[in-house]
Amino acid sequence: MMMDEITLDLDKVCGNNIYTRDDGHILYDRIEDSLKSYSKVIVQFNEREIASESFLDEAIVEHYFRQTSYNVTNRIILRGVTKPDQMLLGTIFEYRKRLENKEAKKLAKINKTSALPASDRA
Amino acid sequence: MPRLVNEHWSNTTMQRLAKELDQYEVVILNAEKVVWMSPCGTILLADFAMRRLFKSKRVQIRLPIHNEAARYIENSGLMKITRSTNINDAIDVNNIQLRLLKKMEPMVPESLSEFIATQANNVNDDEKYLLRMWITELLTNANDHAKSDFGFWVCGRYNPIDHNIRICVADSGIGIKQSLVDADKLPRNIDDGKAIEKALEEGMTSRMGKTGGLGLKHISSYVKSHGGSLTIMSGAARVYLARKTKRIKKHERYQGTIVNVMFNTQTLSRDKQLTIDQTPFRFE
Repeated sequence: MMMDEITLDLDKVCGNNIYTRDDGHILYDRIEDSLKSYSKVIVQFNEREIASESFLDEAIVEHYFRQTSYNVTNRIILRGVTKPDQMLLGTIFEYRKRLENKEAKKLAKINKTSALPASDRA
Repeated sequence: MPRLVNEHWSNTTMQRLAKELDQYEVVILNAEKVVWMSPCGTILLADFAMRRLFKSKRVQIRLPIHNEAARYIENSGLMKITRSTNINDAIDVNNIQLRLLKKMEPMVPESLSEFIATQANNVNDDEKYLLRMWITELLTNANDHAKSDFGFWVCGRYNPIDHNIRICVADSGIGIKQSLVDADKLPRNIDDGKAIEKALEEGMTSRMGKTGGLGLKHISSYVKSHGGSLTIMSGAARVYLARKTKRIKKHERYQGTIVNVMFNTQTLSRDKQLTIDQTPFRFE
């Protein structure tokens, strides 16, 4: 049975290491583990400005692009995120979505080409 | 040395510095005519002095006659390296303008962006955030890819004459081409210039099985829209990108990567505000 909610405090989980992808991966893992046992995971940013695309991408945005059964949109709550960091999270999300669509189109094109008889391929 | 020690001056300098690295007990850099030194120039000279110090060889700088330039060289931390006899105390860890980092250090992007924004005087909080973001991005790139014990340099400066902010980050790692070849993203026979161009493509990364971050592509879009430029030197090539210009040149081989960002503060809007689009995130 799942417990109700857990709060992960950024200061306690990451300390001052809030810049690199490796730093972000530590928070990513803590969120991932918590999602297995809790229905809601609150990440408390304490209004601390991150301003690192690498960290936010790896720690937060990555959850929204994983092939997973968890419905992270309603289960991860980001508390105390500064306005500029909210903007950056949005920019990273849009960018990742664009890349994903681009990859999907590329893949569809490859599949279409390989489905053609050899004589029809360029 | 010429009057202007900017990023375009670097090829001649690098050839000369590479030649003199192991020569003589003392090398004197004559900076008497210098009136302006860019962060890129500062890093190249600091790197040269530091590498010579590793070999117990010295560098002396003949200070500029121009007061402002002399004050900059004194305060930038460059003189401290040339006056040191021990590598452990050559770098002033309290210096904001010029640092040699072994790994990403907390507070460096904050303090450097704050320092530059204070100098520039017309940077609002949102623009300051972006400045800090670019510095963080450049430093995390160097931190992740440098793979070198020597570490990586960062230097930033505002020029009140042309109103440009310049930030330079240099590492002495394996370079962009090798990094992408090792990750099977590029063929082994690609030249350094093409490899830099590929690194600027959306989604390109040396991380296995991952998509790339916003990275250099994002920085180049920003600086181009602010009357600036992005210069990347890696291996034996230099790529220069500005709004309507793209130049790829062969260059003196550099062991590692230098990224130089420049943009004009007069194109910044005091009342510019960052906007938040529709996102799936639940903010509270």
